Amino acid sequence: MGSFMLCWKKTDRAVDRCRAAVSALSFFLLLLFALPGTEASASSATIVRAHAEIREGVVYLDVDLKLVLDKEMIDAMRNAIPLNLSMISVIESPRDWWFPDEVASDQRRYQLEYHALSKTWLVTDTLEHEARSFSTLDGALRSLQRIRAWPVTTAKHLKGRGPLVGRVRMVLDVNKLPLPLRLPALFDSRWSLNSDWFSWAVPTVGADTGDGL
Amino acid sequence: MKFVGRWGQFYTRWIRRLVPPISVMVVVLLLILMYLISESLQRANQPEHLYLSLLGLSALGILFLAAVVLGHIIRLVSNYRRGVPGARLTARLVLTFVGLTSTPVLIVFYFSVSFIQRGIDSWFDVQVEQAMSDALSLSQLAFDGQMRTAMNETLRAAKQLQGVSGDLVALDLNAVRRNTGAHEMTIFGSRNLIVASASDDMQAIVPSRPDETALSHARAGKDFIGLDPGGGDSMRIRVVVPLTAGLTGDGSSEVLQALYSISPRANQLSSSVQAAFNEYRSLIFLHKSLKRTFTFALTLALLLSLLTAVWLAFIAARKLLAPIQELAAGTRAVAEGDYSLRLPVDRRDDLGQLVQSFNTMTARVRRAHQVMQQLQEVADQERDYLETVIQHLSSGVLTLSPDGRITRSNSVVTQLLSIASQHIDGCTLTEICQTYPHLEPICAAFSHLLEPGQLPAGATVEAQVRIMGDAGRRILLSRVAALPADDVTGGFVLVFEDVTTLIQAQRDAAWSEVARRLAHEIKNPLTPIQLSAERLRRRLLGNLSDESAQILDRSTQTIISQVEAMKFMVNEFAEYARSPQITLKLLDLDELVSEVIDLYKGGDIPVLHRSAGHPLPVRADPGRIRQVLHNLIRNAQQAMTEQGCPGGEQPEVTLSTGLHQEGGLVLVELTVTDNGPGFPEDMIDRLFEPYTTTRPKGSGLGLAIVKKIVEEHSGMVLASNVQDGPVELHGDIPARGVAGTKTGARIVIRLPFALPEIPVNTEVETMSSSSILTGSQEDRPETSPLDSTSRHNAPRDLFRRPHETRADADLDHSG
Repeated sequence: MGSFMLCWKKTDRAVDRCRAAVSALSFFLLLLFALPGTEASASSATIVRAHAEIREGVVYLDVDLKLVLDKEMIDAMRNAIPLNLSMISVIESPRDWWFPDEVASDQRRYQLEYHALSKTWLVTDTLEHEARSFSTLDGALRSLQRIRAWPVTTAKHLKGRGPLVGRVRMVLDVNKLPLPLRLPALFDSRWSLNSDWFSWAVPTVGADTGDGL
Repeated sequence: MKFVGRWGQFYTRWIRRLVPPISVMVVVLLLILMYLISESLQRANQPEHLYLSLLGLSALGILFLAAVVLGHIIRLVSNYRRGVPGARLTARLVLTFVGLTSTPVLIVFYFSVSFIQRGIDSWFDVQVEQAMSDALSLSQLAFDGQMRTAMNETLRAAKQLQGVSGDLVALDLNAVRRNTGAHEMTIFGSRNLIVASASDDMQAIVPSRPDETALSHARAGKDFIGLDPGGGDSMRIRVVVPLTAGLTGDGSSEVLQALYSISPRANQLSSSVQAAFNEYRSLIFLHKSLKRTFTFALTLALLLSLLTAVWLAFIAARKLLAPIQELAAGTRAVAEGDYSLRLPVDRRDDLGQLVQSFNTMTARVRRAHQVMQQLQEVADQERDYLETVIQHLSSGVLTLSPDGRITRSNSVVTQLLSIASQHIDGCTLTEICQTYPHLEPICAAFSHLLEPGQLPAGATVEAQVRIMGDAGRRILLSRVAALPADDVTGGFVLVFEDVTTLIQAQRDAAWSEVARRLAHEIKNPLTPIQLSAERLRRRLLGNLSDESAQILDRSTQTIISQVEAMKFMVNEFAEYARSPQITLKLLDLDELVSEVIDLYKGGDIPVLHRSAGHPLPVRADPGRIRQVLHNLIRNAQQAMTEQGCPGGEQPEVTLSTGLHQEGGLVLVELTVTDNGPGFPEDMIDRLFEPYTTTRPKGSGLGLAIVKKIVEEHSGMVLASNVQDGPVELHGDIPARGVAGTKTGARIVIRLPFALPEIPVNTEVETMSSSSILTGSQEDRPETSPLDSTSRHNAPRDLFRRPHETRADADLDHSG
């Protein structure tokens, strides 16, 4: 309680102390979980492009992204630990002085795993229950990096909403990892497969889009 | 600041009370969380978000506990530095508690961690790992035969389909598929577009696509075969072969893919093997993380234990020390004089008994203090009473400590002794006499008695002391008594009583009675005597012979003249005995003297007047003062007429007026000097008593009347011879010095200086007197100069004659 009290005092010294405390805590967690793998490079997910268009009254989203998997992650998959990835798309109406209003959102979930018996890589769309096998990891990743015709919402839903902004991101579902990996995955850069939000232009809903078909 | 104060109150009132129960709840919650975490580590089928949520909650709880403990530590350190009672004991208790609890906890922690490390390591075995890999390889081998058959069948099917035109191939494909026993058969054309497809499963709309690798293999003319896990548990064999005939438009060849199902039994077995293999592989991969996780959970438990231990140590120390701190506060309050404090007794142990004893003690001390206060009040009242009595006494009272310092005085003393009250307390009698030389007679009478051992306790010495105060001459009946000496008090008490008026009245009354009786007894027969003598003379003078007539004439003349003389004398006595009411009024003595001297102009003996040059205000009866002046001038003239001047000088009488200062007192002084032979030494003591005269015909009442009038005006009169051996006279005080052999008698009269418009104030009086005296000094350089030193070095004896050398004529005194 005392340390909080000290932190509330707006002095440089107190701020320094807080920083030192936070650094110490981070260091402690790093020491516990992250130290053995610090030599490896980090994983990353970056969305390169997102484009939406309205066809037959449905807003379809095409997303291109770049996934870089760390050796540790590949190793984990080779040792029968599947990765669960989620693509989250949100359409929002921005508001002044407050959080934007969420108009529509959709999610796609993928599971990437290695099948030891067939020595193939499996990409499963867990919502659609669709599985595709790939003989190489690159093939599997390529299929993940190219998402086409994702029906995000209907054009009807967007009509009369004013200016809209779409955002999309990819996240690694940590809670589906095995227990011992969950906490390190939160802090370890080798397990950080969460992309930043990527904004995409929501196409304007007009008469020529075939709205109402 | 107000906000901070309110926040402080809020903190004290609520948060400090709420922290302990919240901490208890946090500890209980953390224990539950620890249990759940350990459970979730063991079980796989738990809700997905549970583990991380539990960890987050635990971290928050531990942070809260850490904050509480840190708050306690900071407060303890602050109290320790400030030296708050109980802080050291709290620190010691907390350290002991923490030491006692942390040692076993740390030991258990160490062994638990090492046990976990070794335990998890012991799960794995190289042989088991190898067996698992072998089992998987065996499963793969089991599919080899089926795969080879599938390949041959597919190649055969491809041959069958060669040469079939593009449009018909779709029709043939299903027949070919059935022949080969494939589950699904698809032909991919240019850009991997599906040309034709046939499937067992009528519901499957979209045929399964091979991946890029398989397609590129086939397009390169190579055959591809592999197991396809598909979705779920159904494994399939995927064969992709090139179709050599029927080139597509862009020149690339078509590709045939066939999918063969595997028997459910084989599927089940392979799945089982793969599941076991996966389980083991993941365990091997996760074993380091698992160890860290277990260590982390144990560390959380350790932190929880330690923090709880420290927190409980603080709580326990506070509970244990609360009565001790209350006792300390109570002791401090008693030390500061607050005896009303009563500590609450809310426990029955040894400390409770101690608190009970403390309460009993303070109650007794309080009672004793109250009694003492009552006694003190009684003593104060008595002292006040005594003080009031002393203050209202008509006598002046001084008490002195055994070392002679004045400890207490009443207001009458300052009036009687004519001194300022601030010069009294703490001074010795000698010091006061140095400051006020007119008090020298008191010192002379008593100083030696105040020496240690001079006056036995209870003894009283009495003396009559004459001093010259600002109200004139005073006769003080002074008494010194030694107080009974003990450890605290002792010392002396000096009592002064003003008996001036009493003595004067006694003496005057005595003389008046004498004079009245004399007048009465003598005056009555005088007239018959005179008448008889005159008749004798008238009747017999003519009848006698010349000789007899001559005798008769001379005798009767003598009788008549003597009777006349006696009548005169009797009248004088009557005059002396008469005591008319005097009416005092403010007048200028200088002016009065001038008026009187004017009457003597043109006489045989000249009367000179040396004026002060400024008004000399006195409160006096002008008629009586005139009588004084006439008496003195006539006295001097008669003495010089009868006795002549030594050395044949021209006789003269000089009247000098001026101011005289002694010990801060200002008096108006009138000096009558002649240049005659002076007073006879043997008479100088009794000059002012009635019937003291050197003249054969004097009544001896002139100077007595002078003295009587002067004393009626609260003044004093001194007689002395002018010369080198100054002689001073006043009443009972013996004369000092050596009598001179020639020239000059002097009478000095001193009257109180009257300043009606200025209130009596020492400083003002001194200042105004000084300014007046400065003027008189210029006129009369022979009078004693007044300067800062002269006040302190003024003649110690008030009655000593001021040094003067001017008198140049002898004056023989006669009554």
